[in-house]
Order: sequence, then C-alpha cells, then structure tokens
Amino acid sequence: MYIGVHNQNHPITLTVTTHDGDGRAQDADAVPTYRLYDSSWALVASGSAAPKGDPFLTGIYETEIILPDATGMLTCVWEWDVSSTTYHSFDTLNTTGYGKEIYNAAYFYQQPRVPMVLVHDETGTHSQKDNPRFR
Amino acid sequence: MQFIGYCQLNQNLPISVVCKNGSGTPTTPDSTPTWKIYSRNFVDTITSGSLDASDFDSMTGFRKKFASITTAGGYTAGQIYVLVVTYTVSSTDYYEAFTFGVN
Repeated sequence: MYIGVHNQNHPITLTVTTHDGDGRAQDADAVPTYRLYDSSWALVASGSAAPKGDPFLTGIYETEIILPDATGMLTCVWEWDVSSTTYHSFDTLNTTGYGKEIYNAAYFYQQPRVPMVLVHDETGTHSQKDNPRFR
Repeated sequence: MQFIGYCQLNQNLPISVVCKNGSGTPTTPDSTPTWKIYSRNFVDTITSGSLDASDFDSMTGFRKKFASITTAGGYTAGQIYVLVVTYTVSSTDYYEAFTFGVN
C-alpha cells in the first residue's frame, strides 16, 4: 500500500493489518516487526508495532517513528507470525521532494494565525478577546 | 492494481514482491522472479529485468531489486507506468501488477 508523501525527520505513523494465508485479519502470535529500506535497499530503520484500539482491533498494529533522513521512495516491509506461519507485506512511501506540493499545502494549512488574545482585568479574571490587530 | 508512489527521473525505483503459494503463504519461488515496466496503455515495454535470485534479509519469498528510471531508458516525467512482476511457485505462475508515477 502507498502511504503518501512525508517529511524527513518528522513523525510518521506506520500501520499494518496482520492476516492469515486467506487474507483474514488475525492477531499475530507476537507483535509484528518492520524494516524500512531506502530506494537502494539499504536499511534505514527497524522496530516493532503495538496493538491498536481499545479494545484491541483484530490484527491492527501501529507505531510512530521519526522518518529517517533518506530521500526518494522508501519501502516498509512488515513481518509477523500467525499460528506459527510467517507472513510479510510491504508499504511504500515518498519523502518530501517527490510530490511535495501537496504535502506542503497541508503543512501550512495546519498553522493558521489565531486572532485571539488572552486578557485579564483588575480582579485577575482571564478571558479570550479578539486581537485588535486582526480586526 | 496497487499504486506504489512517485519516482524522480534518473533515480531508482525499488521493486519488491512477496512470493506466495496458492494458500497465501510466503514461499521461495521455483526460479528468479522477473519484472517488466510498460507504458500506461501496455503498448510499449519500457524496460525489464530480474529480481534477486535469493530471499532478502532472511524473509522467505521476499524478492527485491531496483530499476533505474532514466530519460535514456525511455521514461518521461509526468507519466504513469505499469510494473508487472512474475514468479512461479510449485510450477504455477503468479503475477502482481503495480503502477507508479515519474516526476
């Protein structure tokens, strides 16, 4: 699965659905592990994921990592066991610079200027007021 | 057909496949898997090759390689291409198809 365009050195959530040979979601025998490779298949990160949901959702695991300083297309290979049989799947993603226009638009949208100020009167009571600079 | 992302012109496109048997269990293939990249309409074969001859990183059935996506090789920025990976397990042929963009 393609999981989009992401900034290097920024957090990214990696998610996997573990399944059996028939493709049915199944909890893994142990937490699944991942290996992240760059476009030349050099290993740039590895680790494991934790069950997701409360109560846990069958076969859903995720982990948050800081995306390494690697450029181009990355491949995240998952490995897990169900009933002692080992399975693999892989996801792909791009780092910034490969489709960055879309990502940067979203990034700046998340940082609006807030036209509010916090004020307090002589009794020490605090309240929010419109910032006169934005009127 | 799964989209796998964007490859910048004159960079490497990582190619991978998990070879499986008819029960969906990762399995070492009978022979080296092969790949072909086609133009979007399947009219032209742009480049082709083989994946690695052995399983990668001790992962049964996982084969990988990368293709060089170059202007000289026939690739154009702004185009979508189709990647088809072929492998054989227990004398049965399997195919997986992906798409990717070049920018």
